[in-house]
Amino acid sequence: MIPVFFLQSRNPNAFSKYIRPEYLVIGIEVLLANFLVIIAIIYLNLYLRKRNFFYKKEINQQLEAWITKAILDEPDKVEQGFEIPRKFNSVLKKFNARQIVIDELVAIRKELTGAAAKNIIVLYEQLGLKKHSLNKLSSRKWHVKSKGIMELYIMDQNDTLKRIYKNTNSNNEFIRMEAQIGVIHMTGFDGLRFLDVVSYPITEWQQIKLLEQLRLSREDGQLAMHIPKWLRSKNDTVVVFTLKLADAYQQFSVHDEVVKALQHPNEMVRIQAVKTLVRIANTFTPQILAEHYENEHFTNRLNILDAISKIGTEEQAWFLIGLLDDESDVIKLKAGKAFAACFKYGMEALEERGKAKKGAYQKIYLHIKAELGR
Amino acid sequence: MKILVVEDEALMLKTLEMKLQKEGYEVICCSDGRAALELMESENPLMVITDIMLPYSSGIEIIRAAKQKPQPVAVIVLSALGQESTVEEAFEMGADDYITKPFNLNELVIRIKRLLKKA
Repeated sequence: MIPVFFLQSRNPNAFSKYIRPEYLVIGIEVLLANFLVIIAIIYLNLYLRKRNFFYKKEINQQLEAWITKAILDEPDKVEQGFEIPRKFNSVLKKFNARQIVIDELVAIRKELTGAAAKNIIVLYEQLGLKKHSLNKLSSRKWHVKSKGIMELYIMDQNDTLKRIYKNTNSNNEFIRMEAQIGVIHMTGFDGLRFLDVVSYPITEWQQIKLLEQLRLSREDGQLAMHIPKWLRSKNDTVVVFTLKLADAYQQFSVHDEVVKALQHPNEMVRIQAVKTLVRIANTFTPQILAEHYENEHFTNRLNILDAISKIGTEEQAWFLIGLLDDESDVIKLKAGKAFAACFKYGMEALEERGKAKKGAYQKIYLHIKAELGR
Repeated sequence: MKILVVEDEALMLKTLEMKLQKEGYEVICCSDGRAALELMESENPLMVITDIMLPYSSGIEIIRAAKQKPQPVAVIVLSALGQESTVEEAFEMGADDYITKPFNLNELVIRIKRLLKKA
């Protein structure tokens, strides 16, 4: 606004009313200097990135063929150790080069199993890269420490289990996540013992990652033994995760403990308990859920109705009929769907009701009919 | 027998190339989807081994292109754990087999031999 005003004004000295000319010059100089500094920082950053890229490329080119050959070596040759070219040794003296090689070995180890994977691990140990990873465990930087943990468990360095296990309850979320995945990677379901002590929340994303990691291991029947203990955890996220475990591995023997979780003060726990009960249901489960319905909030009431539509029996008939007159149309719809799914003549009964009461009932009937394809 | 391998991890690509060469196959390699589509046209491979997540064009597009060719091209998909729905899509597109990462190289070779025998 000021320069426009200045240009439009007939008085050339009008601008000096707002700022003294010498200050204006200083201001412009400061602005220019800042601009140049920003340009210099951007340029330096790009230069360093470019240099790093070409350095990485050069190291990869030097080592790629040799590493690939080593990975494909026959197991009897590997037992004697790999013959390391001299130039390779000198390259590995540089910190950055060691990290580049570790990154490459870790990336390929994630993709291979069998003899090739064993060769990668031998190579990692023989090149002294384990020490490099171990040093990272002492770092104060969370990203360095969690990377070190990841390198060690990917390379099956099981002698470092204790050190990794200590980090499963780290106050840093990322270190904790990596350590929890690490102990499961190394010891399978036994690694879940960190659930006994973990006091920090296990995020939704971490729960997905842990379940994914567990899929690579075989459940040996010990899980059911630990579930009741974890369901009593003071950490609500441990309880939710345990319910997911009971669901994923269909732990029918813990049915009654899961029913108790319906009384948990945390709604997230109760929501997951309803979902888990569908997977481990017995003949009593639908009625237990129906009786619990009144104690629940709206969201979990909907979950209960969804659950009953999957596992319900004729025993829940009056419960569902009562809900067809609920003030919420969503509840009416869910109850109608459960009613139609559980009873042989459920659809006919809904049709009759639709004809008799019209309005919302007619729409609900047509919606359920379309959804169930009947 | 010519095999096209499409994988964006350089070391993995090199390992697959050397392993398959060791087994006596002629191997053509590339690390992105666009180059794979070009190589499929120019080189006429008998088989394609492809990752699903690739730069420029996805593995699904490569399968589609392979199955549109007049001569049969067998396709093996390299998938990661948790990509079940994508693998399903790959099969719908006509993929012949898939192997989940991490995998054993020898198992991959067995699958290649079995598929080429069928072809």
